[in-house]
Amino acid sequence: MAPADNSDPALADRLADYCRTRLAHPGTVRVSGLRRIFGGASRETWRFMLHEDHGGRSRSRPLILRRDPSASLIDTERRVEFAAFQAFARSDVPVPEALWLEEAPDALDHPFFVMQEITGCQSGPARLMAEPFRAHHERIARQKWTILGRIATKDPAAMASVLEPVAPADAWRRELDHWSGVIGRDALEPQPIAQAAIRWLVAHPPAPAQRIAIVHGDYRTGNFLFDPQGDIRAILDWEMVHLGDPLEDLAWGMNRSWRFQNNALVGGLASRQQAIGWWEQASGLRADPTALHWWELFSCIKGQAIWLSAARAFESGDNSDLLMAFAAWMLSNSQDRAVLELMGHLP
Amino acid sequence: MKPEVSTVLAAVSGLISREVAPALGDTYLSEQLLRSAALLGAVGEEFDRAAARRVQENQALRRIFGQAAALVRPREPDLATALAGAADGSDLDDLRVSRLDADNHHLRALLIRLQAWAEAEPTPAAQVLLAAIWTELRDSTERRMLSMSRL
Repeated sequence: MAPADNSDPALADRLADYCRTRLAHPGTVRVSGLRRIFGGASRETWRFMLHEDHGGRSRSRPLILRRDPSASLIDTERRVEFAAFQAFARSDVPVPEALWLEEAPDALDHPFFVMQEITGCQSGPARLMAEPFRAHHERIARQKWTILGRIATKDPAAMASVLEPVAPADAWRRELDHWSGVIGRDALEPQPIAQAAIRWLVAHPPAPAQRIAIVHGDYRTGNFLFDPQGDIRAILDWEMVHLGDPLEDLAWGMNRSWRFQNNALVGGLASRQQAIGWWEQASGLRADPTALHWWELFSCIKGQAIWLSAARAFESGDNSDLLMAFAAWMLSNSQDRAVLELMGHLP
Repeated sequence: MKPEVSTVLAAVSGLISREVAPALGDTYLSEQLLRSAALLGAVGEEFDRAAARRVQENQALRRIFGQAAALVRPREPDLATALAGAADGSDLDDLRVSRLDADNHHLRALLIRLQAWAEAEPTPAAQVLLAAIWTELRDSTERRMLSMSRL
């Protein structure tokens, strides 16, 4: 049984052993303060301090361990997320420094990677919706959608080695096929609302993407770090990054699931028009209303697929993290309501 | 069971979220406890209405199927037969949630077939049927809503 303080001394020792193998001048290596923190649903996230002592010189640095669980809310390749951090390093899209990727299970039982910890920040939506951060909402919102626009301008070649290419006319179909397939595979009960939406999406395809871009895949309130001054310090959770239509990211961030009970504001932060305006300015692209509507409805299908997968993983015992049940119960119904709203069936 | 199950679960949920979780120093464990409290609260909310909302939904679907069978029969006789058969069912002999859910899954799968059929039919009668289906889907979403999912 894990200690009540959520530490894991045995894991800390094994992690120190691993870090020693990755350092150019290992000397004495020690891990302290290893604690599991909440850091998304697809990986276990652990915070720790790495102490190195070599030739009389010592340094300590705060790091993050992201380790695969046995089953997760989102099935992803950690190699892809790691590559995203590398692709955007030292750019105007803030990301933590990615240090080491380990895909073999030998060192810590599951694949993992280690990255820099950005200290002094928060990511939780509940914190963001409360003071003192509430006073910074417009500042944070402007940064949030500006950074998203910058992601859309990044040359996709930066991640071409790990991401599947897609033609501008095919981006919508590939994503829809994938996520509707997940619903077909994982739903524990029939989904008439989602199926009606899928039929509509197939019958009314959007215009081809204006350009193929790097799509973060989960760009929303809750997946970036912000500091007390109201600055976004890092974009996190790149597990679902892929090449595709940049409108997909814009639409996902507008999904009702991420409004955190502030129904008037997308992401709980800004008006729809403001968000689109900032994104258009930064990306140089136009958010065509018809295409954006398609991608917003698609975002409900993608969301529903994720919540239904969570329900199945929990029900089957593949993943007993309460987050799985919590996400399914909290978000599946609201996702259906979002579909009804977008398809014009809510009063 | 007295006190009521919903009342007990609401009390346990409140104890965890207001007293136990804030007293924990560890953020991760505290958040896990808060989720536990929210899940218990949701179970309490669902407990009293669980059978009622399922019966209500199954009856609503059977009503739609009963009215749709004749409309569908000339073009899709197999679907019409399935609709008529489902419309004749009843939940009243066994009100266990697992049994009601099994019936509901069968009915909702049939609803998907019927809705897809109606979408492809240009007739006014099919469009009236389609509107009735959307009304029931909206109502069922409202019936299934939990306080925690009111986003």
